[in-house]
Amino acid sequence: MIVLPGQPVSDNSDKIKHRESVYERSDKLISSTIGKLSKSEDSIRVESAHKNAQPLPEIDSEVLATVVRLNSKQATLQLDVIDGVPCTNNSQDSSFQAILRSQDVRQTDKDRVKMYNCVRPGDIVRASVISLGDAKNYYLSTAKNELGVVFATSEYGNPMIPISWESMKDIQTDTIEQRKCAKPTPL
Amino acid sequence: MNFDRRRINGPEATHELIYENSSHVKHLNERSTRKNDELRPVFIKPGLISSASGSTYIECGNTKIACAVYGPKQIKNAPYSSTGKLNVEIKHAPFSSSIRRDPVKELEATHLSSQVTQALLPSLRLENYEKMQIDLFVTIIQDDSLDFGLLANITTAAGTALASSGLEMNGLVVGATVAFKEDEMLLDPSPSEVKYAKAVMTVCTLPALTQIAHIWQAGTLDINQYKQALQITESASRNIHTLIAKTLMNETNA
Repeated sequence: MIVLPGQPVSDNSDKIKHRESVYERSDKLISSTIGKLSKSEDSIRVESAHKNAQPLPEIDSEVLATVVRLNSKQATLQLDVIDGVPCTNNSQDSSFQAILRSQDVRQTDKDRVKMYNCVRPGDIVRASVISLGDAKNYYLSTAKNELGVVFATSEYGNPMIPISWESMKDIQTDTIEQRKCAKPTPL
Repeated sequence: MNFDRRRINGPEATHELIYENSSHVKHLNERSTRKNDELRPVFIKPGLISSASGSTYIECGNTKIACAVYGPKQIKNAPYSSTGKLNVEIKHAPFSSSIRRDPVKELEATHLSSQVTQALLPSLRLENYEKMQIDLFVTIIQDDSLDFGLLANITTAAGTALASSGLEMNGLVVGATVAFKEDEMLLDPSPSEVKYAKAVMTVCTLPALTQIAHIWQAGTLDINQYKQALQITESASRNIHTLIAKTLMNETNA
């Protein structure tokens, strides 16, 4: 069943623990978006009908991001994919900007992190959002095995493959460069 | 011959335009053919502008308005805010009224856009859009209802566009206008009716929640007339709400 914003979807709100795109108003649950209603014992969801609804970064969202700039303390990234959904607003002025600070790159030996040996401009990084951050940036972290660089090119411009958690090898010239690699997750 | 070569010049020989007989359309819009509490025919179509996240085109009588929503996108170069921000920009097309509107110096539109913002804010759940901005662009293609009627039509169109973009909302927002003239309440007044009215009032409501979002009034009404005006606008808003709901349902199913 398709519901519209403002349409009541349930009378007793106490039992329902899991809610998505609904809000409470004088003990009733009301839909807050256009979408398909799915109900069960303790959950009510309204699945947005908008095909390319832009997901917003939330804490613990998994994102794919491209490194734009780098300095010794932090890397600046641009978000490309949020929770598996590509970002539609990829122009310079409207994209989501995020930073990865040196202390959030890995779990151990945090104070000896050299940003240049972990990510470089152009790399694509899998990361999780740790904070909605300040006015300008979201804050990312790669301090988990399955987070880190997923795609990078060497200084000669060839794609590289990971050979350990902190190094990658150029597939053509066999030169080795340092990166904080993501552990490949089985598909 | 003396002409400006940088302009697009018309052909040397011109003929007078021949218009199709439009008495039928006029017929529908005139008060003599509709009841005091009857709206002009409304046409509404969402999803006209493909690059926008949501858009609507609305026609009410001869008033034609296009409305586009962009975002939510991250606010840049502004201090941190824990709620989203709604930006409304309204433009009259230069050809929207019988006197040409200068696109550079437009003053009414800024006032109108602040009224529209007021009417839309109660319908949006901006607390869910931390650090985000939502841009709403409105173009008035033809103006046949003056500012009060425009506020109602823009609110209706904008509410539909916001809903069709998939934003979180409290409910659909709808506007309706009444003009008070010699003991008569005229719903959806034409420009001449507004001109000679004792009082005009636009009421923007969320019919699904029976909540009033915004009232804009000029002139004085006593308490009974006020009640009557609210009743008329409420029933009109319900009708428009039903129309929007149907349109959005069809759009979603298609």
